[in-house]
Amino acid sequence: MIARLIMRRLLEAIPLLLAISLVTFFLLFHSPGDFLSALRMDPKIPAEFLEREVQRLGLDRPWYEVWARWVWGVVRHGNLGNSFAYKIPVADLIGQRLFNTFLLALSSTLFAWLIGVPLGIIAAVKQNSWPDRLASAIAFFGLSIPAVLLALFAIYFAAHTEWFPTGGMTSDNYTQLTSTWARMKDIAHHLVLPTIVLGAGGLAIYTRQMRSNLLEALRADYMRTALAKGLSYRQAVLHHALRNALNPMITLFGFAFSDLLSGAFLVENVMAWPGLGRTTIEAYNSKDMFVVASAVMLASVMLILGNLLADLLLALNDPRIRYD
Amino acid sequence: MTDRPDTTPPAHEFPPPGSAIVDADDSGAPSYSPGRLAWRRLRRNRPAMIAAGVLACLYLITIFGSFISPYDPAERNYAMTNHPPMLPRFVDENGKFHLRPFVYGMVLVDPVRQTWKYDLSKKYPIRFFVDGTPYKLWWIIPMKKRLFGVDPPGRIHLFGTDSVGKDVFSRCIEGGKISLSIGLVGISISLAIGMFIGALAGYFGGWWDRLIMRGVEFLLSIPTLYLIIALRAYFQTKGVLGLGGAQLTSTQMYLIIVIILSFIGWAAQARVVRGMVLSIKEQDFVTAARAMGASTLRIITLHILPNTFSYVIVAATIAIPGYILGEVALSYLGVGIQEPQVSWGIMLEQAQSLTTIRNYPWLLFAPASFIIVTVCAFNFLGDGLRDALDPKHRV
Repeated sequence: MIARLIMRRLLEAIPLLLAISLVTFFLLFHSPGDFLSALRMDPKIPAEFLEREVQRLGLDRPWYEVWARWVWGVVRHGNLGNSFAYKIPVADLIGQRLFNTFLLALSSTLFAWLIGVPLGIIAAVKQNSWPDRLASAIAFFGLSIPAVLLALFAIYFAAHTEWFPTGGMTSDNYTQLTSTWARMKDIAHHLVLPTIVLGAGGLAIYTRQMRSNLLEALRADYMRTALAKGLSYRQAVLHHALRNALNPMITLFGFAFSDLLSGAFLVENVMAWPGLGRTTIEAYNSKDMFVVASAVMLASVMLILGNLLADLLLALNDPRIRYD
Repeated sequence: MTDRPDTTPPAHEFPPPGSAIVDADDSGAPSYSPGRLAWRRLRRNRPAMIAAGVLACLYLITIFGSFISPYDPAERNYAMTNHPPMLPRFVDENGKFHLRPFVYGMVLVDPVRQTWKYDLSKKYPIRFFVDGTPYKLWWIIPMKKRLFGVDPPGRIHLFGTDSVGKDVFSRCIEGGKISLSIGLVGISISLAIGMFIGALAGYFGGWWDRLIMRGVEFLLSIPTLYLIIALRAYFQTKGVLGLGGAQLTSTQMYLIIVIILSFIGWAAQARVVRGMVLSIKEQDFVTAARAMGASTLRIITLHILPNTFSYVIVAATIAIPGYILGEVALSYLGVGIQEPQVSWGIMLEQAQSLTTIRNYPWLLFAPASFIIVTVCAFNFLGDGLRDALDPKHRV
């Protein structure tokens, strides 16, 4: 069943991705100016050179032809085209960036789950205690401060305390660090603030949702049955209530993925994290067409895979769920 | 998460012990209309009412913004750049109490790093209804009076000034015109489209329904900001409604942002409205209306859509911060509102450099607090409205 679900989802994703790429190319081609606009303004550059460049980059072709060639290249050779600005394959350019975005998304998801879920559990089990109040305070702040602002506040915090770097992913002396351990430590140090900033929204949602799910599950009949059978309260909560309360959380995880990618887009730009979102804006500004198109596609792929992952987790946790 | 199919089975068949089966309001008062009951529940929800009050204040301040702000938001004053916020005081340096609040004059200590010090010898009492630079209220009425100000040569900058000496307080209020209105305009457009399309899809079903739902899935499967960037590129010249050109006017830019945000926003609304219409159209009163010969248009607009209103109101309130933050994000990324227009997003964009954040933090915190207060207020009001209109669905 799981294999069939994966197959079906992947098959469904193909027309979707084709449509997304088609629309992206249409939009990009119909925007004013192109990569050479800046060069055209320069009177010192001869017209023949520009003519050659236009042909080399394929800007004189109709947009659907460029799109078809690009799709063919991706399908046939796994080639995402070349970056106009950097003159290297797009895959080389954004491969590393994609990994950085993935790293940031992963760490902030872990942060949100590993703190949000236990906090929600404690808040529900000890309703109206101080951990409960702390949880609702965190949920309140996490939900009402948007990621952009939180990122700017984090920079303010970093600039004043100097505990954390104010941006970027590596220190200036990163290349001089010889051991892998030192390099990992450096990246981890840079990762702390972006992780908290990006994870805060999810943390708030997970805490709140976990608390209300578990409160509901604790009042369910099967809980009473479990306790009547003689299970300890701890066992009843861990084995009966918790597992039921986790289901909506996994669904939530799938939906949070879209927000996570958009949030990462902003946090990367505010905190100078060299990820996909930052590359997209740079490429957008220089009209580096294939880079923008590839970034949109890869972000969509990440979203589709994230939703698939959520569905799989849900099926694993709850044997009653069937996808057919 | 009301707008998603619920995959979880109900945890219990019966209401949990201890929870009232019927709301206290509903029991003994059958003569009250649902709307009146909802209003009573909302009135009792203190956070929601406070939020409503805060929002009313914010919108009123914005509407009368030109009158309330002491200076023109574009007025530069190179003698007072990067000036810290001034606190209105009642007690002076000798501990003497003044009924009329005043501000101290300031002297520049370090012209390079632009640090300022109180000049205790100069006190400027705050006066109300003073004559300031002339302006036009609501773009029409020429006026000179400002709500408050100080006698020249003193100046009052409640939230400080920016790098060219513009008054941050006035700019925050002016920025509210764009930031606050964009939420209302955006949600109106996407609700109108979403309800129309969602109702048609739900009512007629068939290939039309499938087509629309594929479109909705398509829109929802591109990460929002990436989609916004792609759309933003397109709208630079082409655009709809004959907008566009190499140089966009500020009105066009505003409209483009609203159009982009609504273009993305309608999909989620349409999906939920469709779901509701699917179940509503099977109910007896719709069959009755059809039996009485009501036209399709009449059934949809007068019988079905009003039943979605309670959801729509809640969804609208909860979605508005998304539009406000969408503008912030676009302007912050440099593809939204441009100078000389002011919005909270562009104010953040101007405050983003490390030097600014470190040395002149009020440039960040002033617009940030307006954004946070607005977003908070809409969230609380939305929660309250949901509890009031749909008391069964309480999270």
